[in-house]
Amino acid sequence: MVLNLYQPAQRHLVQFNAGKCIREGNLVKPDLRKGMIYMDQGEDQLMHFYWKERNSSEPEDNLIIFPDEAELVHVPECTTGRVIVLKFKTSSERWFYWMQHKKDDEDEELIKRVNTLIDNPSSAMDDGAMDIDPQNIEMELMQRLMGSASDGSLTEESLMELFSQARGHASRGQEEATETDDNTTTATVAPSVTDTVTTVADVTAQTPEKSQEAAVSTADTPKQSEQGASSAVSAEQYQQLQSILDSMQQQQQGRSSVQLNDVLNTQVLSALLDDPAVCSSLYPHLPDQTEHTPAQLRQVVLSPQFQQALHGFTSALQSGQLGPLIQQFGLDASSGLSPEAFLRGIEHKVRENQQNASSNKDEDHMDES
Amino acid sequence: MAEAGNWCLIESDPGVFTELISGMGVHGVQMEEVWSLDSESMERLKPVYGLIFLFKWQQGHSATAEPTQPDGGNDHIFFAQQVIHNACATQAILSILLNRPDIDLGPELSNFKEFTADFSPDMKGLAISNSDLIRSVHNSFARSDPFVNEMHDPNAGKDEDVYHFIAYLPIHGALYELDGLSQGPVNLGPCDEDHWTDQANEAIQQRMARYGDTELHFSLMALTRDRLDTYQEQLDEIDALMLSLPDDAPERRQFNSNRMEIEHHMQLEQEKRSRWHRENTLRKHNFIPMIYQLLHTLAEKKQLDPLITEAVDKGKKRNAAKQ
Repeated sequence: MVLNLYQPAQRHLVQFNAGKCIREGNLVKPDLRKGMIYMDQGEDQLMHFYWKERNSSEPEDNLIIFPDEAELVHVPECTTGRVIVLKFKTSSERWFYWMQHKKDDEDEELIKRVNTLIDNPSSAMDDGAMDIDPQNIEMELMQRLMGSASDGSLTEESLMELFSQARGHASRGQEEATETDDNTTTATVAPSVTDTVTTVADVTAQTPEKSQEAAVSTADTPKQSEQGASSAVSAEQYQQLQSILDSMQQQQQGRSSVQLNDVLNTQVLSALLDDPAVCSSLYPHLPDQTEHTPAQLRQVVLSPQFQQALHGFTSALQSGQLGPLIQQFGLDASSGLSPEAFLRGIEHKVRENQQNASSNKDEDHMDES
Repeated sequence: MAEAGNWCLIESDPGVFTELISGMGVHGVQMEEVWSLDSESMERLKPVYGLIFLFKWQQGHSATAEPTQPDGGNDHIFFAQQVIHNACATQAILSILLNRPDIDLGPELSNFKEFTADFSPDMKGLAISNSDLIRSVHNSFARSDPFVNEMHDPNAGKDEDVYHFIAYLPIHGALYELDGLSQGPVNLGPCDEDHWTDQANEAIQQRMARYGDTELHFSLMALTRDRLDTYQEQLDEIDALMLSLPDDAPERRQFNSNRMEIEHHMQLEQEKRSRWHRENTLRKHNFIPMIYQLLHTLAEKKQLDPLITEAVDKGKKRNAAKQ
């Protein structure tokens, strides 16, 4: 993966030091391991919330969260530590964590950032890349990068070279954060747990060697003295660069390339059309001059033109730009990010509707008793 | 000058092209796929206004200019340089339509022809790419949802192959080859309206020989008069002749038999047109609501999840196979 080669660490959409909590009945106890909460968009283009041990490469917790499905909040009842909980709105799932970063002044912002990413995954594009101030990247550098990306001559090596040159001009950010993390490895944690109250460990502050910065800070950017305004690069160009990098990354990850034609294959379609109720639901979507009969429906759905429409739609979804279009179906914009996200979005919506319908029924029954 | 809009890739299908042509306001013309340029086949299609030779480069061939040099002094010919790759089919069709005074172009294309008469070839090409009418009719044959098309062409960058369309037609007594990727029209020698297709046949054979071996996929199309019009004319002719005959004349038998044959051809042609029309309707239809409804139904029946898993698997296998 391209960005993995670049030391020190991967850049996530948000990341901060945090520990897990273990629930025992009514108690929430701290897991003392040093860990990290971070969020990324997965291969499926959906938003993932992870927790992992800091020196591990694999996450222990990996949650897919759809917009508006969950919320990260501070737990005020716990007075001895900074406890946060990821609350799911559609179920009673609760995931407790505790902040491990020394200073708490960034807590609010980090929590807010997590919630923004959950509810609005497209914000990932803008803020996630802001470690590097576009103003500081040489125009020529950008054009070289984009030029070689489009003619295919961009190799991983040349990309890394150009990228590190760009980083050389950029603001302090990730590097500082990681160094800060290393500083906290010597922190001592003094747990104070009582039986009756849910508490979490206290993080003892320790004096850092240099000033602390949270993982997602954007410090003041030293401007290149020779750079005039004319050689600054627009945010738009920077975003283009970012999406080139993202797609290279995805290609290297062997993105799953789900095809809608595989889901709506001939066998599946044929079986569906045996059901008259299904046919009725489809008649409104036939072209105008087509008769509303199962035979006609079958012809349409098995035609090469329909297959082509499936291919075209799949490709369009792979471009990741169909957010606005997808919202017309009552799905969240994040379902427009990939074919797989689209399919899962539909699955999710239907499941939710079915759960709501059955819980409403239960309520009705209760009222009647 | 305003920026040229997006041109989508459309299918090279005679049904698409026929409707494209009438969509631009032209009357009495159709496209026909041909398998052979021998005299007999061409005879049946008369009058043939022009031929389009379509071939598809495979990777490895360079699309450089042909060795035959174009002539100068061709101002009376409409020749446009190809500016947009996806528009190449439409451009080849236009290069025939706009060079045939015997075709009823309709008001829009007539205006276009007049407007661009004095333009240089590259300006003519630009004028085509900037024409809202031509582009919108062209794009109407692309994939289902125009909104989707605006954002993303599913074929962009996917195919390493390049399509190339070359038009052949007689202009002012000479056979011309019009290739948008060349500098200008190429005069292939004098010809007459009745036999020019034989000469074109030769020229095309020579071209194919130049490309040598197997890496060439090609097809041929003929721009002809609307066959239904031709058949109707033939029927009218026979009817007129029969009017003057006495009821018991022996010639009637032959005429009736001819008549039946023509009617049969007409019926086949009608059926083909219906089929083309149906296919075009499907091409232009926005299937996204139907696709969504199908997927929604699968989810309701609790069948969607396993299908997604299977599809993810298949996708991964496909990727692995590529590497």
